[in-house]
Amino acid sequence: MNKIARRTWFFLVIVVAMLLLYTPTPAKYRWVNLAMAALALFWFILFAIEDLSRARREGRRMGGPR
Amino acid sequence: MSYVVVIIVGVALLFDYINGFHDAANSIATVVSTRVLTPKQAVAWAAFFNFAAFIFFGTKVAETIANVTVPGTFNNAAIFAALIGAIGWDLITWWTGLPTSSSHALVGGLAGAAVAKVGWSALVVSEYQKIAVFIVIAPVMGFLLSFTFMTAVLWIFHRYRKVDKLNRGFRRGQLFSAAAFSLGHGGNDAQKTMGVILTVLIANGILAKGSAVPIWVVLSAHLAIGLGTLFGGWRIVHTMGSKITKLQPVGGMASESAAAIALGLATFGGVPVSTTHTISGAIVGVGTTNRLSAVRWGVAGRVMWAWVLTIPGAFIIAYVVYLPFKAIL
Repeated sequence: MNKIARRTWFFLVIVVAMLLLYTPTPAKYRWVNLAMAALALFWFILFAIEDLSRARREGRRMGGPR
Repeated sequence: MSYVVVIIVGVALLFDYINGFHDAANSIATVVSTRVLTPKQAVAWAAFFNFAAFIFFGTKVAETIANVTVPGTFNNAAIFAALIGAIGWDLITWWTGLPTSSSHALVGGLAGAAVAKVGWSALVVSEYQKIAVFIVIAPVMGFLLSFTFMTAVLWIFHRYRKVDKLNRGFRRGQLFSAAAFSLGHGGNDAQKTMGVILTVLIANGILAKGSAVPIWVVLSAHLAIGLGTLFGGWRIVHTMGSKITKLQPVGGMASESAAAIALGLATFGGVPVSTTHTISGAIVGVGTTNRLSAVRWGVAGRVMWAWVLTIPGAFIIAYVVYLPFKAIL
């Protein structure tokens, strides 16, 4: 879990918050929730891939050359 | 026009002046903190565009303010109490240096006065639900758009070696983004005062129901908000411009452009958002491109609490003020 940085999780929290607010938001404005959730999800996926690949690279380096 | 109407119109313009005074930070904080303009130049720049906004915008935003209570709720005493509630809350948050929304203070004031006069049935619940939801959504919009904008700018220019030339370009860009944001602020917020003055004039039979906003109301509202900006509150400039996160010209331009785009999109889609909340979220977004700890979350949390408390705070002041004034006005 700690391979993924706090900033990355922060974007996932925004996705969840926007989806939770979907129902109380008036129908006319729900597109804003969806657009913001999609944008936050995009950044979450991008940063998660970056964090995981960095963790893998560092793991290989820690193993050292044979 | 009776002296009571003149007094209430005067108090409405005072609210508009304090709105400019309180919210000047929204449009100039980043320009001042990045030293693109001196504080005096920045307020003059913002005040000019606050005033010039009447050329670009209509008067539709005024309707939102008129719709938060059941029609026919307001008399002179209730409008007076609502304005004092909004002014009172603005002054408290100005004194503590917190960037809260003057529009939400006005909405809270109107609600407090309406409940004191008629009871809870005077409130249009759906309108308040909409406003409450956007207390969270508006800063998120500012945050995500400025984060995206800033990351794109950093990615595009990351190989560019002429840093001085680049900074000069961003500093020039900040002048335009601040002007765009000031136009949006003047256009949106001055209309809220126009809506209140229009309600007073109709309630006192000076104008017929359904009348358009008279030109003297439009000009005086823009003049009041422009003058307020000219004498702007430095406490909030400090919170917005340097306490939340440290800004460079590129960050200032990114946050203002993103906030201006978010406000433009919101206005286009008919979404009621607060300029204060949007720019605060945008500043946090720029700070987050560095790393999460570049944002002072303690300050950001204090700002968020002030947002949540704005409507109840102005509500209580207006409720209390209405009680003694109902017999006088």
